[in-house]
Formats: sequence, C-alpha cells, structure tokens
Amino acid sequence: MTGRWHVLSLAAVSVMLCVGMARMAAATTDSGATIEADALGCSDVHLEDAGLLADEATAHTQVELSATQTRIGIDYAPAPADFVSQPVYREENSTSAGLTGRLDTDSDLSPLVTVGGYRGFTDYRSVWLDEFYRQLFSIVPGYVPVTPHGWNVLAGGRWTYVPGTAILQCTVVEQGDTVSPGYEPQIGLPLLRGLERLRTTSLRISTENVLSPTVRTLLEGGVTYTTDRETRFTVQGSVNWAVSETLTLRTVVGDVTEGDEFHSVSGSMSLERDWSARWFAGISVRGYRDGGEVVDPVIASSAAPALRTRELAATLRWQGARASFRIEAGPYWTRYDPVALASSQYANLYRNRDWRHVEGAVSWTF
Amino acid sequence: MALLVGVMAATLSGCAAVPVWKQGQVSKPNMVFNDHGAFTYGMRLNSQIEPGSADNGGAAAAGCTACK
Repeated sequence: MTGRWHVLSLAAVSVMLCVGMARMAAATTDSGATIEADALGCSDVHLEDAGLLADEATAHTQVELSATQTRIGIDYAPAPADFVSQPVYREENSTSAGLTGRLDTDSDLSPLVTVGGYRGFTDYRSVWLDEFYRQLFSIVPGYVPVTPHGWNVLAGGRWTYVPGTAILQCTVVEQGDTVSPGYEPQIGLPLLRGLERLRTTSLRISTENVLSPTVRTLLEGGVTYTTDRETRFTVQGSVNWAVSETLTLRTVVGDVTEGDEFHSVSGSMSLERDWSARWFAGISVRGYRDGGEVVDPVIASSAAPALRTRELAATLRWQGARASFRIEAGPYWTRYDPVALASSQYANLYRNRDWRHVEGAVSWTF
Repeated sequence: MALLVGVMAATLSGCAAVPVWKQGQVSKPNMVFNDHGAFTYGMRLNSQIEPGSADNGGAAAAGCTACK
C-alpha cells in the first residue's frame, strides 16, 4: 500500500513539474522569496534555524522551493552517578529541502504535490541521546554510528467548495526516516539495537472558512501511522476574529492522542493592533501540556516524563506594497515532572529550562 | 477532541457564503493563515521540545526514537 502511494506520488510530481515549468516558461505572473531565521536558547541548549523559500506563480501553476539549515548545540552533562561519561559540548548541523507544485485548474480542484528530504539530527533530544549512547557503548560490539536522514512525499488536493469563502484540503504524506537508535547491553552478546528505520503514513484534512465578515477559521485533523507506534490522532482548530477595525484576536487549540500512551493539549492567543494595515504590533501567550511518554516508571527508559510549557512573545510586523517583515521575541519555559528513579541517567536531558527565543522573517514579491 | 470534531462537522455543513465585498476585514494579512513569511504565528522550534507539537509522526514527532 505504502509503496503504491510512493510510486503514484513520484509520478504525479513529475507530471506536475513538467506542466509547471512549461507554463512558467510561457508566462510568469508572480514570484517571491522569503528568508526566515529562528533562535531558541537556554543555559545548555542552543537551537538555530534559517530557511529560504522561493516561489514562482503563473496563472495556473505555483512552484515553491525551500531549503533550511538547522544548528543544534548542547552542553552534554551526564548524570552524577554516571562515572563513565564526560561532559562535552556537541554541535550538529542538519539540512533539509523541499519542492512543492500546485496546479490551479479551471475547476474548483487544485492538485498539490511536495517532495522533500533532510540529513542530520532533527531535534536536540536525539543529539543528547546519541551522545549518551556513544560515550557508553562506542567500543562495545554492536554499536554502529548513524547519520540520521529521511525523505517525504506529499500528494493531495484542494477543493474550493464555496468560492471565495470555503476551502477543503486533503493530503497523504509518506515519510521514511533513518534515526540514531537506542542501545541495550546484553551479557555475553552484542548490544541490542533499537529501531533504526521508521516509515510514516499520514492522512491530513483541513478546511478553511470565512464564517462571517469578521471571522476566519481553520480546522485541521490528521491520522498518522508510524512503525512500531500507536496511531496518532491530531485535531487543531484556529479562529481569527477581527474584534474591531484595528484589533485582531487569533486563537488556536490543539489535541494530540497516541493510543493510551500519549496525550497532549495546547492553546494559544494572539492579540494584535494594526495602523492602516501597514504596521502591526501584538502580544501572544501559549501553553502546552502532555502526560509524558513513560509507560512503566519501574523500567529504565529514555521516554520523556510529563511536560508543561509556557510561552510569551511580543511581535512587530510591517506590510509594504511588495515586501514585509516580522520580528518576534520572548521567553519560553519548559517544566518536566521528576524523572523516575530507574531512569535517573536521563535527568539532565529532562530538566526544567528557561529559554529565550528570537524570530525574524523578510519576504519580497517581484 | 470530540468537541473539535463536532465544530469541524458543523463548520463544513453550515457554511454560508460571505460576499467578497464584505471580506475586507478577513482579508487583512494578519487574518489570513500562512505557512511562511511575515504573517506566521507560533514558534517553529518548539516542535523540537514538545512531542505533541510536531506536525508529523516521523522522527521529528517521535523525538523518542531511542526510547525503551
């Protein structure tokens, strides 16, 4: 089943790109570029992300090319009871790229295809765990260093079921990941390695609606199947409300469930004032809570305990005739439940942290 | 979740068209949903920390690929 989707998606993207390039050669009507940069850091973890997006549009096609570079730096510190490992600073860089094509047909349906890939670690927790296992087991038979990498293919369509007012989008995503696995020692035998290759299939449905002259909504739902994991169900609702001519309130509520093992909820609100729809200044608050990934606290596990986060941000935006920019900054707090005694070697990974984040973006239309 | 699914169903079935000439407010840049650019909302890097915020179910969402 997944193989068939893969082949169909690749065939679709090939057709799409050929059609897109032919039409672009005929008449380009619009093109643009966006540069985005984010930084999030605390005393022992530093995350940076920079991306470039270029898009080209004609009367009937849209093509987007994106590239992102991510840097993860951690001050690795083993647990006090770990006499083997040493504190070390470790830095990892990852690169990802994607290509999206959309065909705007004369009907209300628009097919959509994306292909992408990445190389490198995708988050600081996997870097921390890779360093943990490297220091403990790199000279033990069975240990094999891995450079994580992956690919993804998305195919779907957009249906404008009420012209100018309501859109329904449905996509299927197939994804392959090679990850740095966990290890478990065995007496007299090579190390037992965890899963190294993961396949993921996702179905996502979203609908965007203009409910009234002052309310726009976006409702998203998704089902995700990943190798050796419970099915993940995702639901998110967003409401944008023009409170007055100059005030806008944006609200987002999300809920994620993965079998009986994981459940999270999140919510955010942003209040923004604008001056002649040119300058925009706002503040936003956000909260997140999950029940953790730990199934049995008696068994040593690198699974995360329950997590609560809070975020506060101030934002300034500007919209010109052919350019726009955004700058945003604020604090972010992460608070974990205490790590179970059996898993105390991961206490420094799952410790409470006070973060600072800064984001910026600049866009041009040519 | 059931509440959100209910709202989704109600929205899909009960949507009445708002004329384009009345959509001035909802067409402002900060009333539109964007994936990129100056008018995006929410921190992207928090998906590295919050397992439930990743928008996919693969390695990035797992975060716990080494979990036992």
